[in-house]
Amino acid sequence: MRKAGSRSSSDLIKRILIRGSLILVLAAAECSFFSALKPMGATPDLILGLVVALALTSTLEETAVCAVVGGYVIDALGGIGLSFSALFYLLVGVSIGIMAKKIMQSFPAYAVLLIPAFLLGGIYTGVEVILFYGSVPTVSALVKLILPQMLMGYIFCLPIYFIVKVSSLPLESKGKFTFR
Amino acid sequence: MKFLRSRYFIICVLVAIIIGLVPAMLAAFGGTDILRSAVKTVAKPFETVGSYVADGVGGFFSVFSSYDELKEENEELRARLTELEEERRDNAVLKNENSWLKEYFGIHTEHPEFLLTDARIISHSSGSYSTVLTLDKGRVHGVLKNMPVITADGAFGYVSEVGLDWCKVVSVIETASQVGGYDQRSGSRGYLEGSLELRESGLCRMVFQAEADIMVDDRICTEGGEHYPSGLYIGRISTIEADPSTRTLVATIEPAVDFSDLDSLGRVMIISGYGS
Repeated sequence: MRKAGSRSSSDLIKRILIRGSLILVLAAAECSFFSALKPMGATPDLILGLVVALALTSTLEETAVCAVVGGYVIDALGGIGLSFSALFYLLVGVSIGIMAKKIMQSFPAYAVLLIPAFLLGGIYTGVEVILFYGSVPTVSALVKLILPQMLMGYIFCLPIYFIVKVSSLPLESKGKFTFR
Repeated sequence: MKFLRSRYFIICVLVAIIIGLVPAMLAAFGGTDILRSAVKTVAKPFETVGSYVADGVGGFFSVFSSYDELKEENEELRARLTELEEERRDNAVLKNENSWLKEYFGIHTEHPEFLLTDARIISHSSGSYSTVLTLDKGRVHGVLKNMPVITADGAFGYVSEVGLDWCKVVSVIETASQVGGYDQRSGSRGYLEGSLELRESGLCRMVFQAEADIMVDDRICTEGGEHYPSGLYIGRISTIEADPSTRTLVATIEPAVDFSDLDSLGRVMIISGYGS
């Protein structure tokens, strides 16, 4: 019993370290590298990609915790004032996770599930913009901000599935790991 | 769907709401979110690295983003360069014209009796060393066979063949050419002829009587005759050799006209008549 307990706590620490580092690196990349480069004038939402990838490859519980932590970190690094990124990521992660249980958990599924995730992301950004600016021209906000962000987010989040898979290697037994 | 009703999920939602609200409330009351500061501090090295990488990548891609701007600037500079090239070409033409007029004026001052017709060299004879040239003036311009051709430096040759609007000129260093001349210092007379060996070096030779008074560097002028008027400067003596078999002195003449660089000559003058 004692042995099993120590193994599970070391596994938990390993899990926290791996997922925590991944969240930190992706959030830092989003807030420094991508926000400086701004491909197509948008900063891709990498944490959303991470949450979707975890929803497909991990448990709902782990996805929920990572979504909340990811939202908190991204708000800490790049947010100002009132922000509910943690809640948004949690809802998206859990929704995608529930959907993912019914479809094949593989990269094509990830690529497909990123679409509704970024649609929700677009809505969330739109709400944030309205809360931040009061009123904004809808077409202008859509064309200049929301659509580029969704598109760039989708493109740059595609490799995150593999990053999550690789980073999960130490958490899985050798026989179990697969790039489905 | 069970998960959505689970205590775990509800706690997560509550935590998410709290961590969204608390920093905003703390900020509103002038407080500091210690946890956020800690996260920011931990993430700082990653952000620094990210920003360095972004600077590098941004610098690399800025070359492509400013491509259109650079292209436009390049086109403008190219157009300006073409304009300046044309200007430079025009200036070169004017400069040549000016120096030509100066030469023309110099000859005219020295020999006011000469009626000069300027001509442009339009082709050279085939062969590696060309001293038979075609000029752009002919019968319609009043050019006749045997008219002398000169440059500002001295005698060049004579017209050997005339067409309607062209003529051919045989230079003084051609083997076919034989011209009477004299030493300007001593007055010793002789005849100038082309030499196959010397022609290659742009030189010719002059044959004097054995008792002639000639020295290296003496100036040689035309004596006057069928092809040339008297007193046209030809060149200077560079070497003198005695030929015992014919009892003559053979001098090598370095013509004033540089026959080794005819391309730069461009224009010559035909003495088409003599005024009073």
